[in-house]
Amino acid sequence: MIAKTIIQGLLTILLFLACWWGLSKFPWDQWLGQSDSKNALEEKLGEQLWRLYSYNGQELKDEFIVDTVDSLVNALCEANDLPRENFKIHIVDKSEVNAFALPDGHLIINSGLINQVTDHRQLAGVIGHEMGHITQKHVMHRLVREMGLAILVSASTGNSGGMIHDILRHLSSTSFDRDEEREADSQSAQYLDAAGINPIHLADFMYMLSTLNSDMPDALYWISTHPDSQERANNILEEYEDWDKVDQSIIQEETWEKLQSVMP
Amino acid sequence: MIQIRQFPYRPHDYETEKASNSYLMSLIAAIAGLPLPIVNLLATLFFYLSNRKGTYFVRWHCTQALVSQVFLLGTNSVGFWWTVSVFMGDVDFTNQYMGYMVTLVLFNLAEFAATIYTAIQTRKGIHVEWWFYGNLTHLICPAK
Repeated sequence: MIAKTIIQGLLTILLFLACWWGLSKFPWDQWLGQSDSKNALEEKLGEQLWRLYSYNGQELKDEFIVDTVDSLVNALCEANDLPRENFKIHIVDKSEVNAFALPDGHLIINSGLINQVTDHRQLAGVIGHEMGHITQKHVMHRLVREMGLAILVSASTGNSGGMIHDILRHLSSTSFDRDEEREADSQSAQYLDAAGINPIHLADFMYMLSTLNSDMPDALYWISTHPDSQERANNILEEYEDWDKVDQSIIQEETWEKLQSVMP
Repeated sequence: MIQIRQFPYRPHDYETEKASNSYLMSLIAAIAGLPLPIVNLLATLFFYLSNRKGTYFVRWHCTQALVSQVFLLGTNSVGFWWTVSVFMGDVDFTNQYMGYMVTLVLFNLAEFAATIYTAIQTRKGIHVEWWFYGNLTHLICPAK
């Protein structure tokens, strides 16, 4: 009886594997149109969220502004072998000092952030941090964890404006978990290091914002979504205290000053 | 795959009802528990535990209803987490993934049909043994 049971069990497993193997030979990806679309859900969500956010703040499309910020992003991508097309940069006219990542590589940078940073390498650090969230897939992990797959699928259809609004508010005004923030910090520091920028600039920016007083709510926006900034800044400082390379400038000082002067 | 066998004794009406319910329990839980297959197993396990001191006929069918879900619990769980990973972009959508999911649907449908058939037959007092699970049940559920 035992031998017969084992044989039957093995045959059942074999039947399952044979079915799987046979059915895998069908060109499902072509039939379902998935060849060129790696992740339709993420694409749809990213598109819907960006569209909603762009209603609240005008996207700045001035060539000089876009090119200057792009030069920072390009430098980080080139130095770290990151495909540039994976990041969709949007500069938005909003006074809140904030930058955040949306699904499908959309990276929002508010004009308030560009006005607040004192050095373009600080901005590169913040961009690197958000690029870290994108490359490590934190955005989708977090959404699935905190909102559930069913809600995301429903929201991506575009028929539930309330849900997509809630997701956007969640992504732009709440933080990732501590491990994910640390991982994004670490990624950003590595990106800066590879691009020849001292990672301490990111730590400087975190310190600077954490010391601002609470009557500047706009300035405190990024800090409110990135808690424990002083502790995280200390971690970067400790890790890179022996950094002894030449601190590179990605853009010239005059270009940076001009960028800040033309920002709304 | 499914065989009608002679049971050592003729079960009473109350026994056939309880035995049949064990299969229905797994069906209801399968619907309520989607997409988490563990809910399905837990519901049947609960029913099994509450009837383990029942008559041989009831115990035997509760056990078969329980063990018949173990294989699909494993395969469905893999399918569920594979799907989550595809949706999150951790892994690519591949023909292997779709082949697995279609296989899963076919096996689940087969089990679904077999469960309904067995529930009906058991209610009539007819003893039904499944391929593999019937033998397994004989091994873990002795007549005492």
